[in-house]
Amino acid sequence: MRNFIEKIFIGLFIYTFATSSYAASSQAATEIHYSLQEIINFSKQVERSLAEKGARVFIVSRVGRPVDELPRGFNYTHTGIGVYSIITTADGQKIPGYTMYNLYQKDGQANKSELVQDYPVDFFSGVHKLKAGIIIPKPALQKRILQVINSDTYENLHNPKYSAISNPFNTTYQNCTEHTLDVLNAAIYNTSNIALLKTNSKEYFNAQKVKVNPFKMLLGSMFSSEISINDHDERVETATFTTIGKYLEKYDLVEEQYSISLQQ
Amino acid sequence: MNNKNTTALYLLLALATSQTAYAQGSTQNFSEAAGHSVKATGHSVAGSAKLAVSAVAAPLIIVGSIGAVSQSAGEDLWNIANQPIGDPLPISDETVSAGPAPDMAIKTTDPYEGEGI
Repeated sequence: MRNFIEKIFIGLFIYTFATSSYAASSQAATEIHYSLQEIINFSKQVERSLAEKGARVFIVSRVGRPVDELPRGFNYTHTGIGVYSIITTADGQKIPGYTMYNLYQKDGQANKSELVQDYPVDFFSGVHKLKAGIIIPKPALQKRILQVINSDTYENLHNPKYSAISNPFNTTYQNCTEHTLDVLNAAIYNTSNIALLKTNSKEYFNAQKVKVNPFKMLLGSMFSSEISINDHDERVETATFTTIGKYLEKYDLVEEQYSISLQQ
Repeated sequence: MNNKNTTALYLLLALATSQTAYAQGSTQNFSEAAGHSVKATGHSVAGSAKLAVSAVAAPLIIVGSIGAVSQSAGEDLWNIANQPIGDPLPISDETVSAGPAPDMAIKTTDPYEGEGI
């Protein structure tokens, strides 16, 4: 028994030490790394770029933690959907702009999520790098995504049980990118049947293998509530912005795909 | 080597060879520190940038779709809704931000106090 307790303490110590940057990254996601003016300028740059291209709907991602801390194959952290909208401000003005549709972790409950709408300046406020990944779907898919977002399906596809590396091929957990993938597939297949959506994902979507030391993954799942591995087999895979882009490209559903960085 | 040392060695090896396991970070930025910082900073750059707070936003649905904008919504909106996807769209110069998170808003009688609205 004493030996077991010693192992736990050693494991906790090592994990805390090994993941100090990881905890700091999590905290950093709520810190401001750029001035308000830079964030506003970048947000407007993103909006104007998309408006010039006439995008009603786009998939967007951000770099929420230092790039060198991301596992191999991961270029972005959070992914959401941007929708051209008429925004009524608190003082009653109606202005055109983009609204971001997100799945965010709940404050204080890292293993739970909620669906939240915000705006580009909110979306990019805590990033480590003012860079956005953009996928503009083909017009026919944009129309279908709009229909899903305006229906109960959008919320019905949400699973509040969160894991940062959720398996996109089952419904045990969900992260922001998996929810985005589910919304896209609901639009593509015109169905809200989650079993059908998962079957189609398994058949056509290639997820990103998470190349992380298995021991660390095990420790992460033991000591961090936002990382679960019990929804995976031996191969740990998750949906990413990049794999969604490849999926849509493969089936000719992308109008344009690019990234935007802050113009100095 | 006893069992404890073996465990420690494995863990140290794991530490030495491991990469960050984190894949996604969807923490809502604006809800706590970021929200306050941006709003606080916002007052100091009021001359150069206006931060409007949103009450509600509705997707502008393309005409012919379910939930499409009706002509009574106004000529501008009607025209935009009738545009084919891909035609340039107008964007406001104003920057809109979500209001404070509900748990923060409930703590004050006027959640928008100091926002200039």
